[in-house]
Amino acid sequence: MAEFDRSDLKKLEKLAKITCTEEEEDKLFHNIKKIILYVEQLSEVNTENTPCCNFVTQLQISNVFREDEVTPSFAKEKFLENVPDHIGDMIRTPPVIDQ
Amino acid sequence: MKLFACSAKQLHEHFIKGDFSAQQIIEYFFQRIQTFDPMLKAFLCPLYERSLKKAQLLDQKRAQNKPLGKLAAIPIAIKDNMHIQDVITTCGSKFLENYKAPFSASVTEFLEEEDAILIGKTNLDEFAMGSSSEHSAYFPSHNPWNLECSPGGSSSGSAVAVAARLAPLSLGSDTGGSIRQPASFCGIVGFKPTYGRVSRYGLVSYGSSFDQIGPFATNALDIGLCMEVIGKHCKNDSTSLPLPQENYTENLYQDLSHLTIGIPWHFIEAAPEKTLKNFKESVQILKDLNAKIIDIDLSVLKHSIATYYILACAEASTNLARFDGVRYGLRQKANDIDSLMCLSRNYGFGHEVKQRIMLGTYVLSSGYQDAYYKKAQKVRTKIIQDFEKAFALCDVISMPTSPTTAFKLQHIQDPIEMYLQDIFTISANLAGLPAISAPCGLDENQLPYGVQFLAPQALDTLLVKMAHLFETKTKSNEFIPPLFNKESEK
Repeated sequence: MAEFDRSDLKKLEKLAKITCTEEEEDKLFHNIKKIILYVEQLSEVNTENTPCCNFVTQLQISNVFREDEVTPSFAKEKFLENVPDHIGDMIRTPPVIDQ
Repeated sequence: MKLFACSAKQLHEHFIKGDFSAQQIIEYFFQRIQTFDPMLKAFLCPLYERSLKKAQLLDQKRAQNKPLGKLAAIPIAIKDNMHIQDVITTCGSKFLENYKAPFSASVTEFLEEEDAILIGKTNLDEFAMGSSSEHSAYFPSHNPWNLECSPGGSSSGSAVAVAARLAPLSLGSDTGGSIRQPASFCGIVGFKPTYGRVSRYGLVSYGSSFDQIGPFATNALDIGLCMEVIGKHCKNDSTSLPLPQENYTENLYQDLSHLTIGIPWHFIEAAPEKTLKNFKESVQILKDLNAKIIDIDLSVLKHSIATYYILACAEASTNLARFDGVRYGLRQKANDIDSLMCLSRNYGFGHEVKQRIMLGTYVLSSGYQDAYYKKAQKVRTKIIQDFEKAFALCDVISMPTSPTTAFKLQHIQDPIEMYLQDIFTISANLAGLPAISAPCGLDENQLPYGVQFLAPQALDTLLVKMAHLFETKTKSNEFIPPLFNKESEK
């Protein structure tokens, strides 16, 4: 595995949408690099012919469906209570599409 | 009468018999919270007015001879990552400092349907990521056995509240050990049910294939009482198992002669000598109860921390993507949508949360997914298979809960050293197994040890009954931290 470097951290900030200060980046870089090195021990484990674990419990491995019935949900006002900035029912944000 | 020393069941009976009103009980415990919580910092938000109203309504209900729930008048503290409608849920984060829950979690609804009184929201490591309470955005909590020590985490406040007798019952959540490890550090019983036994609806997700809600109590029968209420199928959680509600408090075991206990000696040998010595004492208790003890091979568990941190962080990176500052939570000023999200997330999340999100993003990213995420998925399968092989030879597996007793706050700075605190607890989450931590004596500094019992999936009642029998030998339900083994002054 290629070694984790600073440019990898920058890529992660972009993917995870978290912009860090330089000081934060130092500590994060140091720690993440250490952890990645630690988890690389898994390459020693023989997993040939071992399937991925997709269901942690064998007690129910089928999709859970319900009838397509309209049931009451919450009043809009309940959701709007937590919206940082809204006009009526609409959530207001800075521009999404570049002009 | 020392109400603080009563079990949840005893308090409930006092109320039913009319020895105390619900209002008296609630005011008594709020007096304790007012006196003792400033030094413990278990609570983020005590719910005094809400609880008082509920208590008064309950007293009226009893006066009118209406049927009363099986948890009537029992004060219960709730980890602050579970919703109570119209109450703030912070998840121990700045991001959700002002977030008012629009609905109640299924578990809090079930508890209130049985007339329990939810007395407050407790402190946690931010978004349940941590093992010490030091990652709470607000403040660390303090261990009632030694205030300079961590109470463990991430369900720190819930463990502290019960251990210091500020409430007889509390709820926590366990993703990698976050109920069992603080239970061990605080000298109380903590139970992680089978994955899917308790509804996750209304629990803020961290690692969706690992998270389970479970109770803390001073004794195993109170754990059982709580499980009889919250351990049921929920239609709002599609991972909720279609199992019937079970009885945890009847047909109790007289001894353990019907059980074979498997111990993975090779795996736990790496624990410090003092912990091993205490663990061997717990094994002797099991032998005294006529259990058969055998050695089992679970050497694959040495990879459990690595497996867990890849998978849980991957799931966390997805689950926490919803916190973008758009629809709810903290929002930083910005001129474009991307900056709004990036700045809000940077400001709102603490260091540990950012670290785990980035790690999760890395292991899921193109070019790395096979080597890390898919590989960890396969090792998880191996862990599940090895547990199955072990349970073909034994009924219960026992290990220490934690490699050490409570460490001092700020003592552990290295991330790997902190993650290794969960070496004995994490495998139960990887395999979806029920697991309980029961107190098992004190070390030379009067800090509690915990012993852990694991069972195959769905055998939750076996563990609670086993912990109860174990407790009849250790009398751990009578151990109260000296600083809090007294009435609060008015």
